[in-house]
Amino acid sequence: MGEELLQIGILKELRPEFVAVCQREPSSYSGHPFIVEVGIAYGGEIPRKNDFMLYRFANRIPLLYDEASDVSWKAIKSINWRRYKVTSEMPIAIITHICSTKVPYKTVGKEFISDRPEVSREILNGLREAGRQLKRFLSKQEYIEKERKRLTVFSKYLPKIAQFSTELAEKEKPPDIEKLLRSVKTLEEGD
Amino acid sequence: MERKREVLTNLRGFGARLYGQMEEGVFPWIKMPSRSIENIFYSPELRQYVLGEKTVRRSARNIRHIRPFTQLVWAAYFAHELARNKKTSTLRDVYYSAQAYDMSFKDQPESNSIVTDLETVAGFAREDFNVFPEERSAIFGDLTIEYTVPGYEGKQLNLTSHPDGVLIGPALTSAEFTKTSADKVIAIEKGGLFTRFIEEEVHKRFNALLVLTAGQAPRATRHFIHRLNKELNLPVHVFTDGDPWGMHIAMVIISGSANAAHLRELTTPDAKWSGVWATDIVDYKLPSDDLTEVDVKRLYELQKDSRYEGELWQREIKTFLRIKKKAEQEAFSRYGLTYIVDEYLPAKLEAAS
Repeated sequence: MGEELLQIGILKELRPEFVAVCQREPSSYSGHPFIVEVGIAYGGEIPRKNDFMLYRFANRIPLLYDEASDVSWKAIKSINWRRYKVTSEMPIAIITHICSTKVPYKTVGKEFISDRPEVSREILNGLREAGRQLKRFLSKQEYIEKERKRLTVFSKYLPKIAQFSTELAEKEKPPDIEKLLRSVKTLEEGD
Repeated sequence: MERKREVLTNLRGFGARLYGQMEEGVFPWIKMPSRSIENIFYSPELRQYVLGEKTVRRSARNIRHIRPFTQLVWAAYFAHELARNKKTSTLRDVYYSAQAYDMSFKDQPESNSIVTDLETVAGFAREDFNVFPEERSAIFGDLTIEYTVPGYEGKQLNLTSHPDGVLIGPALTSAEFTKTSADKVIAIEKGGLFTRFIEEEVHKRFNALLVLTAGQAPRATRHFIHRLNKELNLPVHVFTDGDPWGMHIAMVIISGSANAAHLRELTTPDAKWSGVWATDIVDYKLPSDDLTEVDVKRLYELQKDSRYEGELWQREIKTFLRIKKKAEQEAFSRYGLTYIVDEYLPAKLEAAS
C-alpha cells in the first residue's frame, strides 16, 4: 500500500493529532514473500480507552474477529511501551497490514494471522520503528508543555514581585519586567 | 517608635533593592543566612543561638524559588502595610490575608515559614512587623507605661491598675516605660501562683514586677522581659515548676531557642532561674511525683545541651536524675498558703543576690 497512502488513510479515518507509519522491507516465510506495514496514531479523535485500538488488515482487507489471537496483538503486548513514553491511558490506535502472496491465516475462517516467527519479527520491528517516531513527538510535546508551565509561573509571579516591590519602594510605576519575561522564553531546560 | 521607623525603612529598602534589580534587567534575588540545622551555633559570648556564615541565595530566575520568593515579597509588603496603618495581625491572619492578593499559601506552616524568612532577611522579629501570636501572658506591678498605639498615644497606665494583671499584648509590647519603683522582675510559670503573689502583695513586699509566662513564654513576652532588664536595669528571677520542662521555660527566657537563632533581643542572659530546683525538693522536703520516662529522657537531652553547661544547671540535672522526683510550684502549699511567699521566696532572692 505504501507509507504515504497508509498515512493519508489514517489521517482521513481517525483524524489523529499525530501519526507514524513504517513499511518494512519485503521478507518471506516458508518461501512465501510478504511485506508488513505498521501505523501508530495518537490523539485527535481517537477515543481514550484503557487499551490500544487495533486495526488489522490482510491484503487490504480488514480482519474483524478474534483480535486477541492475532500475531499483531501478541506483538503489541510484548513491547514495553513505557520505553516509548506511552501509557495505556493514552488515546492510541495501531494499524497493521500484511501483504502476501499467501497470507498465513491460522484457520480456514481467515479471521486472524498465525504467529510465524518471521511475520512476528517484522511486525515487532515495524511497531518499534513507529514507536520511536511517536516517542520523539511525545517528548517534544512534554517539553512544550513544561515550557508553557514555566512561562505561566513566571508571568504569574514576576508581575507580583514587581507590584509589591514598587509599593514597598514607594515608586510611581512598576519596573519594566517585559525583558525578563522575554528572556524566560529562551531559557534552557533544567535551570 | 524609633524601632518602628527602622522597620519601615528596612522594608522599604528591601523593596527598593528588588526594584533596582528589575530596573537593571536582572531577575530579583536575595541572599540570607541559612536557617538549616548545620548553620545554627551556640554563641557563648551572646549566650544564645546564632546563625553561622552559611547563606542561601534565592532568585526569581529559578523556577523552584519564584513562588516562595514572591510570597516573601508579599509578606514584606503586607508587613509594611500593617506598620504604615498601625494595624496588628496574627500568623493565622497572614495566612488568610494572602488569599486576598491571589497569593494563597498551601497551608499554615508554609505561611509561617515565609514569615520566618522575612524575619531572617530583615533582621527583625515578626512582632516588629506587627504580627503577634495569641497572647496569654500578663504582667503586674508598679510600672507606668505610655501607649504608642493609635487612639491611645500619650495615655499612661500603671500596671497595678488591674488585679488580674495586664495582658502582654501588642499595645503593651510597643509601649514606652515611663517610671517604676520596682527593683526586680519575677517571672512565674503558672497563673495560680501569679494570682497568689498578687494577693500576697509580693510586688510591694519585694519591690517586684510580676510576669506570668503561662507556660513557655511567648516571644513577645521574652522580648518584654528583655526590655525590662535592659531599659530599666532590673534583675530577672524566673520561678517555674521543679521538672525538666519548667527548667527549660527558664532557659528559653535566659538563652532563647534554636528556632529564634536569627533574632536578637529575645533573651535575657543575666536572668536567674530561682526554682523550683531539684535540690529544693530535697531541702524543703516537698511533696513530689516520680519522674516519668519522658522526663528522664528530656533531662539527658538537656544535660548535653550547650545552654546547660553552667554549674547550677548541671548540678540540678544530676540531682533530678538522682532523686528521680519532680515537684510543682504549688507543692509549697503543704506548709500553708503563704509559706512560699513568707519563707521560700525571700530565701531564694537572697541567695540570688
